[in-house]
Amino acid sequence: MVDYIEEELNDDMFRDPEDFVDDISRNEIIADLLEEKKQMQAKVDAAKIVVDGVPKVRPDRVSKLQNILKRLLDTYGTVVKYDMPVDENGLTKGFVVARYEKEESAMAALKGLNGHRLDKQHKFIVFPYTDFEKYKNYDEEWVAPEIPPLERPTCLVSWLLNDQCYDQFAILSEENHKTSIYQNCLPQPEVVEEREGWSERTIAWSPKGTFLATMHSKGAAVWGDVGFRQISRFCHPNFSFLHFSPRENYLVTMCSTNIIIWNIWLKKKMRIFTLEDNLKTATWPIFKWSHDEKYFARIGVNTLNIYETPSFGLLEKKNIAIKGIRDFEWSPSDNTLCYWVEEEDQVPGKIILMEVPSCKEIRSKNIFKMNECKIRWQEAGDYLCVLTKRYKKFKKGQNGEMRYFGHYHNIDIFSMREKLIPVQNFEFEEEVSEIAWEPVGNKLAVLHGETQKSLSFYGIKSLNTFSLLKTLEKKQCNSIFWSPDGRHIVLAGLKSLNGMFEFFDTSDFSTLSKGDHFMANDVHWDPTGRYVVTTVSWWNHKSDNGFRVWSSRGEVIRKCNEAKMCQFLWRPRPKSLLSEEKNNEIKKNLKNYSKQFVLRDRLAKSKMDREMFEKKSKLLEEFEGFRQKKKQELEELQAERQKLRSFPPQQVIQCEHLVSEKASFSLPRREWVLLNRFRTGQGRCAELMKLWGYTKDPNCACNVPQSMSHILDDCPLYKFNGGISNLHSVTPEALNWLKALPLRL
Amino acid sequence: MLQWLPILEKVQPHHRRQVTKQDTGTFKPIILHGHERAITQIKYNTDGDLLLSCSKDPTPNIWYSITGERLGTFDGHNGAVWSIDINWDSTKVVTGAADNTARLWDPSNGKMLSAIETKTAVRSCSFSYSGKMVLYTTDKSLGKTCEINIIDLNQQLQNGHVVSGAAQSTILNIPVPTSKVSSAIWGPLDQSIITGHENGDIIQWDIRTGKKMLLVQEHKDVINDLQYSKDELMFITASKDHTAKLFDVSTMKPLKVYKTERPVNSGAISPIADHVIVAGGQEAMDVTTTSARQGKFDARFFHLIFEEEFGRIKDHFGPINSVAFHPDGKSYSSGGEDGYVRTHTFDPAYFEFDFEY
Repeated sequence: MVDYIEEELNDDMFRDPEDFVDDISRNEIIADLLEEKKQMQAKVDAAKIVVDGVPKVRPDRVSKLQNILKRLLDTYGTVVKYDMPVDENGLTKGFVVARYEKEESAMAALKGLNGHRLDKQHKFIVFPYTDFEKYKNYDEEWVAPEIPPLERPTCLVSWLLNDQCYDQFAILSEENHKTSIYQNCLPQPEVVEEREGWSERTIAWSPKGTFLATMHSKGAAVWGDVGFRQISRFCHPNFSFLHFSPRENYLVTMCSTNIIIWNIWLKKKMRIFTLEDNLKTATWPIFKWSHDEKYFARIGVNTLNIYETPSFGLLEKKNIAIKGIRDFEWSPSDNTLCYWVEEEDQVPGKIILMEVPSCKEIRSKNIFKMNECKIRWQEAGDYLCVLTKRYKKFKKGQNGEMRYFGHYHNIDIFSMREKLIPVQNFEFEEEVSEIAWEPVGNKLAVLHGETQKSLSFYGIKSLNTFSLLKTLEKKQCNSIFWSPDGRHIVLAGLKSLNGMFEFFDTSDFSTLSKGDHFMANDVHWDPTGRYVVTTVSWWNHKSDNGFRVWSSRGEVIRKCNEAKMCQFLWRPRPKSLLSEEKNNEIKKNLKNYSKQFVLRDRLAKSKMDREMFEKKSKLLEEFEGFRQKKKQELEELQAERQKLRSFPPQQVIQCEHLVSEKASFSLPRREWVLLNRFRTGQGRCAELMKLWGYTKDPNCACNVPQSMSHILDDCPLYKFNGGISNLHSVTPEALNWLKALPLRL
Repeated sequence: MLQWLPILEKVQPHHRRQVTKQDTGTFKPIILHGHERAITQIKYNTDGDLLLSCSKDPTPNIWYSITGERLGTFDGHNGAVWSIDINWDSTKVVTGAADNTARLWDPSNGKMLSAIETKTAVRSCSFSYSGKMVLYTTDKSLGKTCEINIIDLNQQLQNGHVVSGAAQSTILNIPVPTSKVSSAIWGPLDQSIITGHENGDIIQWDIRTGKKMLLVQEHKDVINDLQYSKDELMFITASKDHTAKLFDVSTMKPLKVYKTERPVNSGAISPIADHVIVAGGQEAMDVTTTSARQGKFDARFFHLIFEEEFGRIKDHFGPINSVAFHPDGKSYSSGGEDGYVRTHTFDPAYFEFDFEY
């Protein structure tokens, strides 16, 4: 039976038709199996390696070669299959195919044997077996690789590309720890970026303005680029100070135990210095950088330590021993530094100029009876000014401490660019509180005097010698601030002087203007010298925080109140790349240039005015709308309010003088009307009826013109005896008379 | 208008201002010097012919607003008077003082009509729109909570001279255990009251139920003053957080903000123009190195809608504690920490002033 069915099936149902073509590929039927097999094969292939560069040998030496190869191959794992093809002459073909048990072994052999030198002539070249497959299928035709769209490298100086040359400034506010960066554009500054909690403590710009550094408990962060993205982070827990190197390649951070120097670009620690005790009291920055960042130096115990970059090791691997060194400053233009040494017993104090890296003294000056010394380089490095505080005599105190008397001050100006570096000396009998070089140019401002300060300017008049140019007497100021562009200087009376300012032009020594900003405690020139900002910081004064923007001529441009403002910082600019000639040319044609800028400013202003107008119109419209809506409400309210303020009935009862009125209110209608007609003197009496044109006879029955008062007072027929006053108070007689009156009035 | 009887002859000659014609200098103020200590509140009556002032000395004053002549004093308090109000028809005056009393007076003769004894100092008091009810609030001190009280005026007057706690006439008593009420006004139609609190909250209470209706948290510090616009559809707050804000009475939504850099003690809305006066200054105890030269005690004029300051008047040499517009809008008065009330009459330039925009 079963057979029969099978036969049937075979014969009829499963017989292919005669014209049948099997168009189903194996792939479609057993795709999974094929795939499996393929994978298996791939696995096997992956474990195969081909070793090329094997010596071609005759059959008699094959076994020897095999032994050598086997030993080599076996070191990387178990070889499962081993194949050495032979050509028709019985010579080996010079390559071997080996199959390892594991793919990893094959990989290891690939790495280890490739390039293995069997002997002088034979060097193995090992490659995976799969390479055959790979290169077999290699497309002969070259296809150009697809070029990904160019990602513009981010530009760290994009903020300088503003065509209006607007500067930026940053404000740190205690309120919500908000840091805001503004563009100082006309007519109103605009916020560029504002973040709450951006910095946990203070903020700082790098010297050229590329970066903004924020301080956090875990370390410092550096921001820059468009949108102030984070450039890098420097982990230094509980650090308290930071500063940038002059070319912005390095960042120095200090905590209570160590100082770390970082490379900003590599985001790497360059060197850690443990903080010695003598450094803990030193003034920040402890490390001072040379202008080109090639060297940085600090003061040790009777030593000057100069370090080199990028090795971050000591220059010539040793400290420079200088007994009694107190302070030093790098020249802003050369690798020269100036330091001073305090006096000791009979040895005078010294000011020394030293060249680096030769460490040669190029100039020194002995100064007797010196207490203190301040070193100020001129911006261009052409001159150096050293202010020394000297005494006339001293006494040894009981405990051996020194006491000095008769202080006076000296200013020494070194001319660096001249042969042998000549020094000029000026003496001041009074206290010199501040000296400052003009940033562009070579004027030196000296603020001196006790309570009433005087300001003296020194400069070159002739033959490269300095002389006094001008002294301004009795100025209310305690600080001076040069414009970064030179020429202008602000005399500021900060702190105890409550914020008085005098704007001064040193080209002709004239006062431009005076002003005040109550409790201002700092002055900031913008990097171009166009604006001056005076600030009241929350750190110094707890109210009126904010800043005032002045023009360089001392006109107040803007007053801004910023609640709890702590820090105000202009974003510095790198030095101009224009040549001296180009600069001069611009200065010469300033009038032509200024025209177009004035025009632009005016346009911006009119635009703002228009916007302002639109804004205000909108506000007005909105409020009018609100008022219209309220009008309805008001009307309803007014009605209600009226009710609230009218006398309610029970109150009237209490009022005595209204008692009689109560009687009159309750009169019947006829009497009430009548009463009022008599009160007003207007009623339908004959006289009035004639007047109104209703009747012709004005006379009463008693032949006299009948007016209301005639009826009441004169008429012999109707007259009331009580008179008008009784009628007014509605006495009972009056009521009776009204009731009895036979007239229809 | 009632007939005024200046019967109190106590006014010292030097207190009586010589009324001379203010010739050309129209912006010169009339200086009312009748107080010995800092002014706490000033108020005009509805007609604007009278000006009431109270101060930290115990005698509130009442003045002719036009001449600056003192009409009389209200004698009886034994402590600083924090608040004063006059009803709409100028027949009653209520004062609240630190001697733990609120007193009702007859302004026509200066006689005290009734006194309400409270547990603590009375911080603010005011008549309802109808004048039939009086609202007063008390301070939180010595373990006693702050309270809001509303009494029936007639009942109180019948009760007699001094009523302890005003038990019989009290319509409503709301204890406020949270932040103390620092200023209070009546809401619309004698149906609600609006209180400003020490933490900056503003609360509208329904007086029929004594429940909070709305709570607004728009200010960060003490609400020093609440004042209505003329149509009583808006009110202005004055807060120590350096701002004054304009609110819609019905919705209690803030409409405008007037920012200064000093604590604001008082704000007033002009009845005729879209102007607002905002005044204040550093609190006396906080003043360290502030000079009048710095102009921080100015009355500052803001545009109601644009929120922009367009002018200021400096004359007080201490913070201004209270300002009020005359109901005709042609003058205003300010009372300062320096103890003076100054009445300024606007010059024609003020009315011609058109806000530039």
